[in-house]
Amino acid sequence: MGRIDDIIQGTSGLRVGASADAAGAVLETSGDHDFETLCATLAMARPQLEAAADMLGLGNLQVVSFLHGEQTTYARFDDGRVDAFVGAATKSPDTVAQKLTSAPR
Amino acid sequence: MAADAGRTGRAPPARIGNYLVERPLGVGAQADVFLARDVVLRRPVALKLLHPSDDDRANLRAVEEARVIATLDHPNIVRVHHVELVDGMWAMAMEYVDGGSLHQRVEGLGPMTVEAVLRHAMAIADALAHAHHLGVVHRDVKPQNLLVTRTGVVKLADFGLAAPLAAAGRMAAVGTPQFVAPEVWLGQPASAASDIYALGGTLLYLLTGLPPFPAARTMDELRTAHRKHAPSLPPKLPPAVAALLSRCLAKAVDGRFPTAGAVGEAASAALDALGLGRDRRTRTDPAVVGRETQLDLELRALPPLAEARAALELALASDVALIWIAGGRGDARARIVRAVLAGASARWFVAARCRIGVGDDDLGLAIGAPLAAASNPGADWIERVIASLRREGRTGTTVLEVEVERPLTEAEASELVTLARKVEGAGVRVVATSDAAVAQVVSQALAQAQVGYLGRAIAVGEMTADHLRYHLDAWVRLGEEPRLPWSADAVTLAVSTTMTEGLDLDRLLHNAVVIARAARRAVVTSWCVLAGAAHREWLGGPDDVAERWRQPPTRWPTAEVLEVLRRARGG
Repeated sequence: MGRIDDIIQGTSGLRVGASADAAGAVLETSGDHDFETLCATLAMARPQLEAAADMLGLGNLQVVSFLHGEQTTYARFDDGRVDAFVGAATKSPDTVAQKLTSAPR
Repeated sequence: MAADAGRTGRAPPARIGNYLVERPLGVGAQADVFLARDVVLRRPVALKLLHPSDDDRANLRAVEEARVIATLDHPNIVRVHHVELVDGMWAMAMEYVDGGSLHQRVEGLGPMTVEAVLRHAMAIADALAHAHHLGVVHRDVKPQNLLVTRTGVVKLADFGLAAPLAAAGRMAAVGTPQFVAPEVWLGQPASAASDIYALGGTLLYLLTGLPPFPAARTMDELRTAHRKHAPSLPPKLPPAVAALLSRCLAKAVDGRFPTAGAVGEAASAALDALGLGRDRRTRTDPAVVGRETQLDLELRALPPLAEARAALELALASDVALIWIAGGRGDARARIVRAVLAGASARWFVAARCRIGVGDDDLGLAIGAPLAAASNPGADWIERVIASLRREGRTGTTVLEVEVERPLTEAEASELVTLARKVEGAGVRVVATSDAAVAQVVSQALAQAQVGYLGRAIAVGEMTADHLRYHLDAWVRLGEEPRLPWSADAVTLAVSTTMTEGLDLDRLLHNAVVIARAARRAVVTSWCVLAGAAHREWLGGPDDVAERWRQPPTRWPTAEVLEVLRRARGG
């Protein structure tokens, strides 16, 4: 079991996930998904997301969630890494996001 | 700082709307075109500035036409991004195509092969068929309006922007009467049929380097020639090609092909008749594009290319008859040759570009056909090639390019040695490219014949991973719009695959993007790179993608690929 497996096991609402370096290169995966597109997209979007967080006065960006039709995508940013997860559609992504902030890094 | 002035002599503003004007690309009777940069989307565009007009109807017509053109969506038509009225001047931002025009290609490298012309004919006819279907008539089909991307895709430009050719008296203002149909000379409006006529004249130009009636100089002579005289076709033209041109160039509208689509079908049938059917499509190979591209310029300073280029220039300055660029990858070799023979300061006349591919069993045919010196195999092919070079060449500066893509037998190497002996006497150089093994066979043949002094081999150094990353970055940055981003894993795999398998990087990158688009991916991933590497031919579009690579897997990367990527990253 890898770190991503552990996080998925310990966080209800997550189905699949992957870990990537800061450039979006995939390092570890769990489940079936196009992780490379997911991680690359999040790595490319990170500067803009961080700039938005900064402008809103939110401090360091930790977890971002994207709610859409049938699923929710979560991104957890760390210094040299991006962890990406996909879970079921939810009305309270903040619960999952909160768990992710304290999940193993 | 304002950009240089166009034809009007008036410099355009340095910035027009979202576009920073960089430099002029061309001037016309009704508009000037500039290379500009979209500062918002950060991409280059061809910015066409219509000369200001006080005629409200003309301005209105320009807008109406722009709206119609914007509806065209075809891979062989230059796309219109945006139209705007700025300070009384209409500005149209269009897709920037960086490989020059087919007119420039023929001017620089001479007439094209029958095969290349037929393949271009298929693409242009398809583009015209699309436009005609939507009720758009081009009105100004000519070699200058056929642009090529750096990957060899031909694109029809300037749709509908030429003024309607309502009267012969106004044709001087249009500027290209050499391709105007007989009925238009009589005052009838331009139509799909007149586009087909102009296409016929354009194809004839690509084949011969001359418009249909090169001797006609004045407007009266041109009017008479187009209405009454038959254009002279090259005598050795294959019958199917001659029939295609004759039908396009028929004086009577009903004597021409009924549709542009029918022209494309005839071109395809002619290719089949010549044994050059669809399985040998080469339309996107940069090696067929003679002109140095923006990417070529960007990569000039990479040490392996710079060193080989300097060596080639030195060899050409000497009296060596046979210069062999050996080793490295195919795209690097082609790039070195283009830089020297087709760069901005090139002084060489390339009589023909020959390709000895895997299926080309007959050396004489492969080298002779582009020179129209051999349509059938024959023992005397070298004599015929030399005669053709003497006839068409320019003293002291004529070069014959030969790209060898397959192993050569000793007998074939001996034939090339004989060719080298003969071209030396004719004041012609042969510049050949191949892998190192083929060059070795030729080198041995020269030594055996005790004429080693006739040849010089130039070894192309291998690109490092850093060089390839730089190449890839430039390729993506200068790429065709709309650009797809590349994942870090895709970059890693493209570089490592190119190094380990000796692949042509340009082709790999091009194929990966075609596959990403075919699979509707928003990002080029390592799966696209793997799929691109699995296709050894240049992909023209989604239809060329093999069935098994059309649908991406549900899980990516797999554990195996992850391990490959990890090793490639050095982790």
